[in-house]
Amino acid sequence: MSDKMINIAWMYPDTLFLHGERGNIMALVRYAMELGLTPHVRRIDLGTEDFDPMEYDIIFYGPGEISSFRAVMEDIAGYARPIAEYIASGKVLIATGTTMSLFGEKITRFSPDAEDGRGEVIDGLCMIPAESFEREYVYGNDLDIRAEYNGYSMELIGNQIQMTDIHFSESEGYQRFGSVIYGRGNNGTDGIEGVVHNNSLFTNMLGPMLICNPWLTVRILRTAAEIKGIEVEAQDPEYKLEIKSLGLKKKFIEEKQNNQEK
Amino acid sequence: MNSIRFYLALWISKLAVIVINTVAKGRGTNLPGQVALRIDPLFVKHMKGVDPAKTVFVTGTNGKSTTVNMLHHVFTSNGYTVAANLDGANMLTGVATALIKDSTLSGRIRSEYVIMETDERYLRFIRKQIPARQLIITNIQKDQTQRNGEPGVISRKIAEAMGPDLTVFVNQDEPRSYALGDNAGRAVSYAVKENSKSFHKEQDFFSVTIPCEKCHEPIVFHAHNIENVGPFVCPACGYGAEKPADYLVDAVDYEGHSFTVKGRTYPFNFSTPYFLYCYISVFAAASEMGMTEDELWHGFETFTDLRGRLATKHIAGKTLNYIKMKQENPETIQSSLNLLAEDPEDKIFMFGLDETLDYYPPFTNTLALFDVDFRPVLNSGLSRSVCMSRAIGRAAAVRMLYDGFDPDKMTVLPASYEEDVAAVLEPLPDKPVYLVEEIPYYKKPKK
Repeated sequence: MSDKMINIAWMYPDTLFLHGERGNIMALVRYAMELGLTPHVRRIDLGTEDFDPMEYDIIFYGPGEISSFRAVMEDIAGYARPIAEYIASGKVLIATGTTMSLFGEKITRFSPDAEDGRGEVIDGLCMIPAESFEREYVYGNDLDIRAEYNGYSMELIGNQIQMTDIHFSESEGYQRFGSVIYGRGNNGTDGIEGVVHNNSLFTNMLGPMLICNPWLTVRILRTAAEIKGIEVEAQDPEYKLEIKSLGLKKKFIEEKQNNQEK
Repeated sequence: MNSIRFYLALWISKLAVIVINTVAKGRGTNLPGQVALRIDPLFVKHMKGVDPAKTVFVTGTNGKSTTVNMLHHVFTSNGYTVAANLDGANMLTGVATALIKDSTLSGRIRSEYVIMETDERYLRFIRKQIPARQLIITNIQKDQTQRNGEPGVISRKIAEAMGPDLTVFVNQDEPRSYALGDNAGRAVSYAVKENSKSFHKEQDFFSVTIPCEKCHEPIVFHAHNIENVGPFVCPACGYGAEKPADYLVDAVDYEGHSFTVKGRTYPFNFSTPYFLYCYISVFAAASEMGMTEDELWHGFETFTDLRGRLATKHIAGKTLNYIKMKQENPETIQSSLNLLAEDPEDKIFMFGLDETLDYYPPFTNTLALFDVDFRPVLNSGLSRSVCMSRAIGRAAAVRMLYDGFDPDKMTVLPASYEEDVAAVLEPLPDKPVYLVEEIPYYKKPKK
């Protein structure tokens, strides 16, 4: 076994299957290799019995359909304590899109029949102090944020397909992942995007985020390696194409904002 | 008062049809209906002579227009009269417009049958005004994320429009639409047997299937007749076809242009498997409405005139094989890529993307690109690839690099203007050129 092995758990790839988010795993693998690490990814399906979070250095949850929430929640509940310990230990967990809501306190489904639109309440995993409300209509847009991760500040651009609005207040140990430059973020009102707790991040950003913003991918990998005690000697890779791509998207967003102002 | 409002709506909207036909013939697929519904919100319901038993709605992610056109042709070529929205205006306003055009001055439909393409999300509103007894569901897939979010939203919206009075024609090879059969009074299934163009997906570590509608575990396709459509089962809960489909294409001869249903051979004027699902759903619905096998044969034999997704263009002395796709729908992207990968010659692959402009706000959406596999194109022989888009061409190039494309053989164009395309193509060697592009995007030269 390589002494530079980074173990990655790809959670429920065929259930949390939306928005091409498998690309994030591809990015982790690619940049791990560029940093001289040896990535090893395991697919974890619903009902996998021998899943022990502490065996991994990065655990990734993509977004899935709201109808699958209960099945996913029930499965995660089977290892809720170990996953909480994993996050507490400073290891890296990433949850993107709607799946971020699962880690909050509760999710209130939208009900067209209820006067206030609030229907069934699903208990969350209570790992982040956040509450989610299913939206009546989907919100889709670009998302441009100034993110903070493990002491680094960086600009990230991706997409947001928002099925739930998330309300989260920063408290000790629980910070925003980013401040919204453009887009909706958690709920469109407080300028907050996502949540960071220790080195785990919960975000609405899709794209896939780690493909579009490899500077974050590298930072995550360096963090995972550091936690594991692996020394990474390689310099950060060049991101020429991705930087140009980000520039074009930024320009598009600016034009969109200018048109809105007119 | 209600009838005064209805007649006012009818006559004003008919006048609108005449005006639009005078100034811009072929346009105005929604406007007359908009006018009518503004005056009388229940205008469609108030139309006379619409027989729900002789009304078919067609909904789903892909194939609605083709299915409606084919069903319309099968009926009309056999002498039946049909009111239909053949131009794809599939909201309530488009349905209203089609009925206005088909009606007398007293608001009575001239045609015996009504066949309408219906938007998945608006089906429930349309069906409130015309309780069609037949509904064909083509398939339910990822598409228009900004509007639908996830395919489950589409399923739920369609389910809300269904009820015990409905006969639904469901695709037994497509897990989501097949599951919707439970919501109707009667479900009639259709399917296509594995054939010479069916394929088994190369499973690799990054392959992702779709979750089961019932238990959310992975679905296994025994074969794909088209992308994510084929005989399937959920190994975890057993969800899948419980019996043979009520209507099955059980043999296909692509070279001989024929297919077989219930022991009889029918003409098939196309060569792509996608059309087989249109044929068999039309076969099922028309048969259940009393059409004979001879009538079906005649309808299929004469069905050729279709605005498909394939076309050719001539630019810079080269012939472009133009394949239109929906860039938010991974299945159509993959089908387009698979189609050009059938050509084993070294080729030039051009890929045109647009920012997502369907709904407000527009955005730089490349999500679906990581749901598809570009390797079939690469492995089929590629001399150059060209990514074209104003804002997301480089993002598309990044995607292809992940599938092993050679960056030295890639060009990124800031848009897909014809003159830019010509400039790129001109110096390249004489190779087959394939242009896969978003449906409405091929732009005229810059002014």
